[in-house]
Amino acid sequence: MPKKEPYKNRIELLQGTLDLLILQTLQWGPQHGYGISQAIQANSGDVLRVDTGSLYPALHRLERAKWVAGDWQLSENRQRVRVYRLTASGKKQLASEKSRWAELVQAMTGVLKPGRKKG
Amino acid sequence: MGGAGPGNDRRAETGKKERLTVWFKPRWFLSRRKREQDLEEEIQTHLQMAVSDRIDRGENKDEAVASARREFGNIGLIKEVTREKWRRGAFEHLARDAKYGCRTLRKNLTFTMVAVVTLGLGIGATTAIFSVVRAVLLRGLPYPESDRLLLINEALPRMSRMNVAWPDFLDWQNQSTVFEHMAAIRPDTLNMIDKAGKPEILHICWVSASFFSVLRTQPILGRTFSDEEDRAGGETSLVVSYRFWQRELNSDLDAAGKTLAIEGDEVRIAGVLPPDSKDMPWNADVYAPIGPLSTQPNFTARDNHPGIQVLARLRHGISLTQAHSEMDAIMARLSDQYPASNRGETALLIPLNEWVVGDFRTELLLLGAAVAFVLLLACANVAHLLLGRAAYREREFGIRRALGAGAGRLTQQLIVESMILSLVGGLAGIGLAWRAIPVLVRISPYSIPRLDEAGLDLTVMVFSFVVSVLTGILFGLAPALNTWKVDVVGSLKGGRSAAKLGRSHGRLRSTLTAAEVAIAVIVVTTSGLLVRSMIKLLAVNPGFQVDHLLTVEIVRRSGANQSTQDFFAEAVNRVSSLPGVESASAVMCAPLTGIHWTSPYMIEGSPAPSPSERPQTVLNMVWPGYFQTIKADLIDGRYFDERDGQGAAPVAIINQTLARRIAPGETMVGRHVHVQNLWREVVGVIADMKQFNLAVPAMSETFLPAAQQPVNFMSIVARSAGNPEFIAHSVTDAIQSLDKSQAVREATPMSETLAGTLAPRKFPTMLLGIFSALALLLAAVGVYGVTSYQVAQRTSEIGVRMGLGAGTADVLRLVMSQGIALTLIGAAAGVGVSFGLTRLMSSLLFGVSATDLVTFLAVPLILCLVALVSTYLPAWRATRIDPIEALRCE
Repeated sequence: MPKKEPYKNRIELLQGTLDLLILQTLQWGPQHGYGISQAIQANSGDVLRVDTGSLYPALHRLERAKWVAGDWQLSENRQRVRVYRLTASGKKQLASEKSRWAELVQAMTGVLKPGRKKG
Repeated sequence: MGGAGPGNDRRAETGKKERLTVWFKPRWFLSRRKREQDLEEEIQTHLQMAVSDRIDRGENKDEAVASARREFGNIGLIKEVTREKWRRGAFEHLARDAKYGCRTLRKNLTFTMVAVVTLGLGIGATTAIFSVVRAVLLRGLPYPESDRLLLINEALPRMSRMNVAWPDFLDWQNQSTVFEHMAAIRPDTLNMIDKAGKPEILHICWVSASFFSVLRTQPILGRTFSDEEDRAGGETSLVVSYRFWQRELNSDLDAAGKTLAIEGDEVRIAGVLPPDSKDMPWNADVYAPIGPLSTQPNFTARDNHPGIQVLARLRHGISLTQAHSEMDAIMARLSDQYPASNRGETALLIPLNEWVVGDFRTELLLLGAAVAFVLLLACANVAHLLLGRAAYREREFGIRRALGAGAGRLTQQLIVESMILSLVGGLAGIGLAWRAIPVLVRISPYSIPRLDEAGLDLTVMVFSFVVSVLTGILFGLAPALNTWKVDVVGSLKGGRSAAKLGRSHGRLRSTLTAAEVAIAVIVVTTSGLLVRSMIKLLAVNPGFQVDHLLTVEIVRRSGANQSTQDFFAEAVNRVSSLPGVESASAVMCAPLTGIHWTSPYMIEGSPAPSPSERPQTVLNMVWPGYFQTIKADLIDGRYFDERDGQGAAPVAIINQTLARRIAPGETMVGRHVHVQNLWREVVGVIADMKQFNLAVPAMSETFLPAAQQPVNFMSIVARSAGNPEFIAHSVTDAIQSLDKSQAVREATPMSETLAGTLAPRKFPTMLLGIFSALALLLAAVGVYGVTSYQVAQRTSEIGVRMGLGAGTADVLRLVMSQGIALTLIGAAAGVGVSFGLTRLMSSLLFGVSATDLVTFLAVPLILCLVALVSTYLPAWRATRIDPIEALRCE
């Protein structure tokens, strides 16, 4: 059930978190685009579906920023695939993004916990 | 799979590659094509993997392929967005758009040519006029701090502007504090023997020694004058102009110290000036100190104004107003001190730049406005073309949107296309201007100051570049913005009959067309007013018969044995006995030359005011037979004849204007007027002759027999039986043969003098004529375009109507009504705007009011006729539509 929404908005909205998700996924080893999307989907218990319209632009952007590096390799079923892996600076970026995410979560929960202002 | 060869090698060893990444960043150096292939392959593998996963999960193959695709989304758009991440994007887009744009434009060569020619004309004309406006109006005079330079003249209660009296100038120099320097300048002509030993007329300007300090000019050779030379009794030496140095001295580097033979004397050259700007009041071949002239009686008299103007440089921090008030104070003191000559006299201070530009400001601004309008029309027409093409390209844009092109990208691409068009148009325009400016300079009247400095320099080029870019934005914007409205589904389904878009295009085009007609009306109206002025002007009677008349100006040399009077008498005799000459005579200042003397006068029987408050009349000396030769009508009394000799009773002939002013309705013959220190009997009244040109009413004029008031410069006038040019040579030769040392100017037909006075008006009239022809043409094309577009849009409708029995007249009415309606709206608007605008040009008009009814009726009528023809052509084509064909097309 593909959603009918303009693509461009979603890219912008997901940008920060999608980067984090991709970098996190690549921490477990090099992976191709399809694999990354499958992994995110699986690891999120099917909750997060990565829109390919965001994935490839994001991958190419991360590569431009030198946080990931892309390479052509042969897959298990002898298919030529472009495999991305985390670079050293990508690892640093992942760490900082993680801590930022943690801060964000803490902040969000902090805001949400006191609950409905009614009290 | 595409990426064979080097690509495979590259990805063979990953470990090595890491280092390469560091050193070469190979991926970012890859060619665009390679990267495209990589992206394509990456996406394809993604899809394949997704498909095989789905097949593994048990879907059948077709279903798997379809759903994988669907899940993946718009491949084109994803590629596009991804490509944007490759950075360098903006520039790359631009380059690609430019390439694509060039290709599209090359493919539609007719469209491109029409657009480029239209723009080229508009930009070329604008550039050419700008170069003129810049040379004449915008560029300051080429002297340091030229805005501080002033020209000073005097005015009397009965004379709005006259030259400066020498004693007044000396008092200004002594008493004023607001000027850094002041200099008297006095242009003159003398006889010189040139390097070939021939007599030549030398233009000399007598100047104060301070003249060069006022201008802050340094000689390139030698020196300028010392204060000692600029004194009564000082020895005269010369500073020569650059042009004269080149022409007469062959650019001799040792010119300083050599001598020139002037009026029988050898005069030493002190120095050579650098090149000077033309059209300055002091322009001359050579400069000589004015001080030595100051002993002459016409210099010492305070009531004499011997052709002197004063050039002054304001001190720093002094405003024009301050200068005015100080000069007013000085003049008030002089008025008290010397009431006979100076009562009520004032000083006129005019910034030099204003003096040089004079009345041409209005004229050039008018031309500038007209050319801007023509450029707007050109823009509107190209916008028409682009809109028309956009309608045909709707399908292309629809498909590109569907394939993932963002609306922004399409807009950008269209703007890039417009820019290419406008820049190519601009280039064509610069080419046109490059050819046109020299022509413009050549055909322009000599009287437009500094026009010869117009040219295609960097500023002008930058100007036309900016204009090109602006026009590109102007005409490209409308079609570009329209891409936002592209209805993807509609345009794909319906081709170019996407109704909504068509309608919004239609409205835009209608507005454009009406505006074009309005602009054309404005331009043609101004041009019409100028043409009407010209016609009125040509019908003006100059007061004498211009054709078959020759004049030869002679400044009698000094030091000749023969007396000046005898020389002129002999010259008139020789010329009148030439074959082909009907009669000949002489006059000091020929009509239509603008050269004149003025003198205060008094009338017998009325109280005598103090000299400075007396009315002024133009004073002219003539030879017997002058009025008969020039064929001026005698209104009353008699002509001068041999009776009116040197010893005879002083007599005068006055013109009608003076007669009317002194004694309206009465005869003046027999009464006495006082001019030049004598009471003279009026023996005749002559019809007015225009002293300046046809547009300036004749001033009051008094004629005296040259025998009773001798002067050393006169023009010999001769009436020829046939074409005056045929006898011009023999007239000049006859005079020259009298005295080999006398410089004689080439005989000029009076008709040429008259043409010279009309030239300053002809120039803007002709240019505006060209602009209005262009405007008419462009407006006609606009109306034609909107109508034929309409026909194209409504082909099937017209087919249906004809199928249902509509006749030719019905179709014509249907199609033409829109164009005509737009023309009427535009014409009405144009007339309204013109009504408000033309009064700004009233100073350029003659004999017609700025809201001349004839022009304001004729111009809209002409436009309507043009529009009628422009709508008829496509409408007529519409009547040829075969209903069956038209319907089948749908």
